[in-house]
Amino acid sequence: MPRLVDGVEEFLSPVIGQGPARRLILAYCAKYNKQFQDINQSDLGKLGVFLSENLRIFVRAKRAEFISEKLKGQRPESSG
Amino acid sequence: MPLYGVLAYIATVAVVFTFRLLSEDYVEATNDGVIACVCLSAAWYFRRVTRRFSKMDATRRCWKFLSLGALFHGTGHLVYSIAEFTIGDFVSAPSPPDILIYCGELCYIFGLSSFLSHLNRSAFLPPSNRKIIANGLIVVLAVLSVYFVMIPAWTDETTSIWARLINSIFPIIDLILAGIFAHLFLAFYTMGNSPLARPWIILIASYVVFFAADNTYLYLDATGQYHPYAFPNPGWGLAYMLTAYAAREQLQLMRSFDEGE
Repeated sequence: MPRLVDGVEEFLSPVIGQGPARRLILAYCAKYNKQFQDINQSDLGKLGVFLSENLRIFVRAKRAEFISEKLKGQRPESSG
Repeated sequence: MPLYGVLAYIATVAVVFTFRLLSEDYVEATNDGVIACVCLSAAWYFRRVTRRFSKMDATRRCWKFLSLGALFHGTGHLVYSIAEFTIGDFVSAPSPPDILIYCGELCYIFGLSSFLSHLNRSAFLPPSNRKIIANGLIVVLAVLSVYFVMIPAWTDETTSIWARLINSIFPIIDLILAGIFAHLFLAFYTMGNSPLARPWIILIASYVVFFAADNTYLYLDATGQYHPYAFPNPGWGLAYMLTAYAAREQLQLMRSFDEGE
């Protein structure tokens, strides 16, 4: 069964790199006391905000928010 | 500065410096002229990067300082170039245009340290002992700098006390920048293969070349071995070329993010 977290990682990898994508999710899990594989649809909003906060040092805030909005649209099927 | 510009510079310098195609009196004047143009183009690219951030973005200030730093360096080298063409000989540092170059270095220190403080809080970086390694590297560089650059500069009795003092400030500023760049390098190295890291890795490479050129110059100058065809001149040129290239890469990165809209 495809996991949402794999789809999220696959979405983020071309944008920020594979290593940073995984570390971002792990840091999110540590912050909200979650298991990596338990990331679900309800986490995408907070994960998007978390991504935006970290991405805005590299690109302007509006662009970071746009990418975080796209992240919220991820579905488990997108992991392929 | 596109990559082919950097490669063209390397090829041109390799030919000119190998066959000594220019009169020694004009090597520095020409090189300073090229450096001035490259620095001003880097300032222009950094300025365009700055303008892509909104005034509310915390890292906008970092890019603004990098733009100012490149502008100061470009103006300093332009003054050097004009003076050298006018008198038909190379102008030995320290001289008045170095004030502009000092200002540029201070802008780089403010911009880069500000960016580093933001980067250190990023969740993209793994927790690691990179700060200890970077600080260890700085200690090694400081020892080498004191032994090979500062002591020869201080014991050179052919120069005035002011020249010796100024020649000691440059390696200290270089060491501060080297420290910041060591931290940045280890941070981006631990990020792995990330598109966000690419412009920074190029910028760090530019500083490695710059640090080597600067300290080689100070050592050769203090020991009386310097001549215009020595390594520092093409080294400085290449370092600034890479800075302009890094600035252009950051602009391209921001464009690629914007195109995703």
